Amino acid sequence: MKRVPSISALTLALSILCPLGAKSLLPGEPIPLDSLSSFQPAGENWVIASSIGGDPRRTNSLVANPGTGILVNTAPDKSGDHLITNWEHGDIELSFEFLLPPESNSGMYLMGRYELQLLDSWGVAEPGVHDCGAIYERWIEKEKRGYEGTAPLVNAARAPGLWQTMRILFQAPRFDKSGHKTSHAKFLEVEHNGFLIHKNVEVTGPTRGANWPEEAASGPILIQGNHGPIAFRNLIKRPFNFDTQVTLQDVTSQVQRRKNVAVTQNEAEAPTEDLPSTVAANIDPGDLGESTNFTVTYTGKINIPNSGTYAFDADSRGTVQLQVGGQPALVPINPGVRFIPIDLPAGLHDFKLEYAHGRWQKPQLALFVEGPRIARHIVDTAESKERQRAKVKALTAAMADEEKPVAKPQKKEVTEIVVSPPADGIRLQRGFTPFDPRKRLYSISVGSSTGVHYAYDFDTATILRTWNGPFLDLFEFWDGRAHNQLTKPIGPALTFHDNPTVALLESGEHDWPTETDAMWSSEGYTLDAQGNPTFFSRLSDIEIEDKIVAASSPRRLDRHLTLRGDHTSWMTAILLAEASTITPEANGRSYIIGDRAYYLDIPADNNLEPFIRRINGRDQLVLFPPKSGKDVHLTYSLVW
Amino acid sequence: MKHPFFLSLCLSAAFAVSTLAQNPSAEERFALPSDELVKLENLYWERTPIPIPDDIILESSGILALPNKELLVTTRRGEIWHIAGAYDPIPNPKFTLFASGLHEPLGIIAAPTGGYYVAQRPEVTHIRDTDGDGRADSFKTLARIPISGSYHEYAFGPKLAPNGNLRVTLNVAFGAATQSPVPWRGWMIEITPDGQIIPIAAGLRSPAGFTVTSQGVWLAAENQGEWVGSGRITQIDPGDFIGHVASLAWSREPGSTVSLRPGDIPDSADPMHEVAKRIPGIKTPAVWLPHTIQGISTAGLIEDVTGGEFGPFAGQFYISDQGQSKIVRMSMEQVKGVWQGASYNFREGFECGIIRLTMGEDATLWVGETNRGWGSVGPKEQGLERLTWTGKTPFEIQEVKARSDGFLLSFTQPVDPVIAADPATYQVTSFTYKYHQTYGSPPINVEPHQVAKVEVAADGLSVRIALPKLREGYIHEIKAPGLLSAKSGTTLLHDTSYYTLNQIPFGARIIPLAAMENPMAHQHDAGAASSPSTSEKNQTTVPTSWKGKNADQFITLGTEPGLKFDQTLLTAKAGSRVQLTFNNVDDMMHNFVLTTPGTGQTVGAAAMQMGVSGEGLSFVPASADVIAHTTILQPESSQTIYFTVPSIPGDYDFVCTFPGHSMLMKGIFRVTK
Repeated sequence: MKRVPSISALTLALSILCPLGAKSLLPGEPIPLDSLSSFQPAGENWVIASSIGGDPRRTNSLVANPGTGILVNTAPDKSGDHLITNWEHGDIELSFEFLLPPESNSGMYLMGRYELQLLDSWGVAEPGVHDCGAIYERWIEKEKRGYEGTAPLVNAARAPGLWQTMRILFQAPRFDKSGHKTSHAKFLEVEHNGFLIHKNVEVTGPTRGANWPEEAASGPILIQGNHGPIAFRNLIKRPFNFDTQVTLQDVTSQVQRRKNVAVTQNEAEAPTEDLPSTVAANIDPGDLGESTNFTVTYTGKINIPNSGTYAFDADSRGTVQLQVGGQPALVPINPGVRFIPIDLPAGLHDFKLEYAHGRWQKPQLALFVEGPRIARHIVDTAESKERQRAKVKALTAAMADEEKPVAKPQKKEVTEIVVSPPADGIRLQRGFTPFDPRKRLYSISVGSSTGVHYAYDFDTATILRTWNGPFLDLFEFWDGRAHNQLTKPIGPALTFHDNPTVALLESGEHDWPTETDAMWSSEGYTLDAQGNPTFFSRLSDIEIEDKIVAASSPRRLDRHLTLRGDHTSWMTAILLAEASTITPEANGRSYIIGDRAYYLDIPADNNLEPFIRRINGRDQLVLFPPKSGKDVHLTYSLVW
Repeated sequence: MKHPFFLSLCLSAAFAVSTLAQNPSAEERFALPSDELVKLENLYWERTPIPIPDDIILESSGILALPNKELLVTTRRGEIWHIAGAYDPIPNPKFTLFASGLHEPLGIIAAPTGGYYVAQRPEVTHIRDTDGDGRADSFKTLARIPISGSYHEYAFGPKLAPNGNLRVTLNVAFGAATQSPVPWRGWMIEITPDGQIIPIAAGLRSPAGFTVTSQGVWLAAENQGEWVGSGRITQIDPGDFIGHVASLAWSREPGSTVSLRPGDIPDSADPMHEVAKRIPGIKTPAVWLPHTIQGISTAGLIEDVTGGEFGPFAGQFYISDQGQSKIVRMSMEQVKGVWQGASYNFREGFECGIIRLTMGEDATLWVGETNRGWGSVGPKEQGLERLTWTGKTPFEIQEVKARSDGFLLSFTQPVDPVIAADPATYQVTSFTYKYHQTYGSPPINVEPHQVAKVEVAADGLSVRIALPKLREGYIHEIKAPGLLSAKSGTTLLHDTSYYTLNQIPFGARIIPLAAMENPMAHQHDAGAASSPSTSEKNQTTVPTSWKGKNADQFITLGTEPGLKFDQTLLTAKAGSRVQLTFNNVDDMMHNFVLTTPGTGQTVGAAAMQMGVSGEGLSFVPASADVIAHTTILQPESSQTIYFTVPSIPGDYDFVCTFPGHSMLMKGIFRVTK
């Protein structure tokens, strides 16, 4: 299994080396798909649709239902043309959704030259340079060989017929005045289904099949159309110039200090002291040499390069407020800040930044901005960047000075603790499972040597999430004091709901409960010879056995539920799936859950009759087992 | 404020005065005195670390001694390891994984019906190997434990109660608006075989160690924190409230055995025994373990039921400490129906913080260790050790018991009668702690006692000391550093004991009643842990000699976890004026002390010798080597001091002199030309 490199190390690298990091606050520009007006004249294989019909799960074709919002390449073979946008880009963030039928192949060429491969790679254990999400290889025609392709860090591909997301942050090559290239094109970040698959991958030249062999400062997007059907929607672009930055100048700081209080005194009543304003080299409150309990106000000028809408952000350990050009840009909420997008003409504007530091830890503030063609970056004075570099240099020198013998060898900085299942078995780990809105406290993660894992909730007998990858990062569970006690999944994941699986309903029209029943109790689990758990629960008089087995070829989770006993006055019900919409497939025993998010299959020999009911604007796939006094056995598979 | 039970750390070993009879020089006493003591202790109770394979992280959290000299050890990482061969003279045991995937188990016992009961964070589980293949395959939930998601919500135990139920104690949650956000946090509970939870007692905070004695008496350890001035052992009956207020949030919940409400407990900082007299339902501790002297994070608690095979202390108790990586001993008696007793240092020098003690076969004491992310005197982060009696008995205080006019001290060897008969041989001081919401407490109302008379028993194995003044409810420190063994001429291996005098017994006196003073007239100290000192070396306002000018240099110094300052090199120009702000962002108390070159450790060692009075002086000894200092700062507080840098360039020292910290928490203050 391909080893996914340290996630936290990547995040750390992201924040230090590359000031572009977190997701954009400002909306991107959607590329309209009500017609093909955003593209150069296209071949007939490209159409606009409202939804996908047919059976894109099983057949290599896409049926485009009339309407707008989705872009479809209907050509099933090599006869289709490529599609090229009628606009060009340089630095850019591009995000989109795509859907592939089985064995189909396409690609997104940034600047028409650098391809991100789109392929049905569902089930591929070790993705290579041709698999979905790969940055395609370059090609030497004479020798008929490729080179420099970059495989994705992990295979995040979903099953055919399901919508997938892709987000690309791309830096165009740079050229000097005489046209010589000074830096290569770079895929700064690529996320497939929300999981990082590339970071800072350079491409030294156009990849195989590029529309132009020579490189340029800008180019259009080219979408491959000659290798099978594909559908796209929600194409959003955010063009940037990474060299354009917002800086501060003529900064002064003014500190208001709260005098030291004795332990017994009420802090709020301690007297304050205003210090005179001084010139400030930067907006780093850690540099002020102040004790806890102080407020600093920075004022000065901010250089706005382009006219347009700006969004600021702050990462800090205090309370932050920002005004730019007299308009509020950041207001404090507790904790954190809320940004208010503001329109600013290009030029110098006044700014006022207030930072209030409480008692915790070192004062820390990082101010970020994004704007028109301006990617998110840290904002400070121009000199502060030099100063930060000098600080690092001095620290390194200081450490070299202290040549005292070290009592114990310095521990290497550990930022993750990755645990994986054994080579041929199952690994379990109870802990707190990350979940929105709140981590789940009585839950367990089950990892399989197939590479397919799931998290299960004891209070609801629900599969919370499934993913593929190395299994878990237990750094926030086992390192040091481990405040969060989190068992974090590593790998692209599909998250489900957390409503109880088995419920007692007064009638078939009653909505599903969202809370665990008072008569519910989890009774633990047993392990079979391979280590697979069977979970036991009780709901009033009903005993429930729940066994979930992961498989990898093809990837799925098979669930076997057994219910024994009966609660006679109310109806026993089982919730198989819950989503905004659930669509049965033609064979009558498979369902498409949600907006083509995943599949739920029921085996042919099943004689139970689940059905879809719509309550409060959402679909539920439910089963009301007959009250026969016999055990109820329900099996179904989740495929994604 | 986050203050878990595994908390602040102190090197206590140096408190024990060297037992070498001659007067050792200052250098000898300060040069790693703990090594001397540890070597001596090892002659009597031998400590053997168990080698652990490199690929196993054995943060021991629970130990069960199995038949056939095998062990089951639970770990913080949710594993249960079967260990064979740990009893071998030179152990090189075999580790087999019995179970894994648990959520922070903190104890394992044998289940009468087969298998084992394990207390995990979210539940108590019955774990069994039903197919006999050496791997557990059944994990049945016995009882779900209410948790809110705080990492401090530990579940300790389980212990088998005489009535067949299990008992578990539940740590409070820290860092939230309330420390008891879900039912029974801060309670001792019982769990029936069918999984029902029965609350027993409330007021617990971090009851990491608890036990039921061979006489059926339930004892629980407690860790210093809010409402808990120092670590201690409390005897628990159903319906007791033992002090920490958060758990009273559930006193009106069905099943509650306690009727006190949170508002019933005053935040007066009066001694707990005085508050308990005014408010019925508060149970005061049986034995206090003075903070930094006998532990800082009490964790393991067991009774010596070996009947003499583990040494002369049969029937007494051993208590392990996580932070100080040591074991102390406790003796108990009942006076007027109330449990009380004394604590004594026992064994130091373990490799890591000790959280579990289990007696195995052949009177082998198994010591389970982890520091779980907090510092510990022992440098390792995990471990398993064993302690066995070598058969040799040291010269020790056997036991301290209360008498109507003083104390009866018994010894393991006859004492030199001349020295023993001299009242000046004994130094007695009494003190107590504040009972308040603030974290911890310094010793307060500290008073020395006169020893008026001593009667030495004819066999020399005990002495009775009579004090004109006894203070009911107070902890009495009894030191006899000069006492000699008649046989060997050595001093006591551990010469200090702390007796919690909850009740003064009736009985015949050896000094007349008229000589006894009224113990009630005491004065309250100001003694706050961050009491501002007016010493000129602790200048917290801009010195007038600076004539309104700012400092030449501003230094901000903080802390990092694991007893560290956040910088180990500070630099300043000779003769310059410095404004230094020390931010204690740790969850332990610290100070900053600037000393002359090369004297940081000496000053730190001298601070350790300051004893109970040290706290009021911020653990800064009166020494010419001290240039400037802050007072002791509570967690999450700071202090700014002003001083002038010495005029002679060089590498000066700065240290934290809170007892035991200076060896790790230090840096260089470089004075340049």
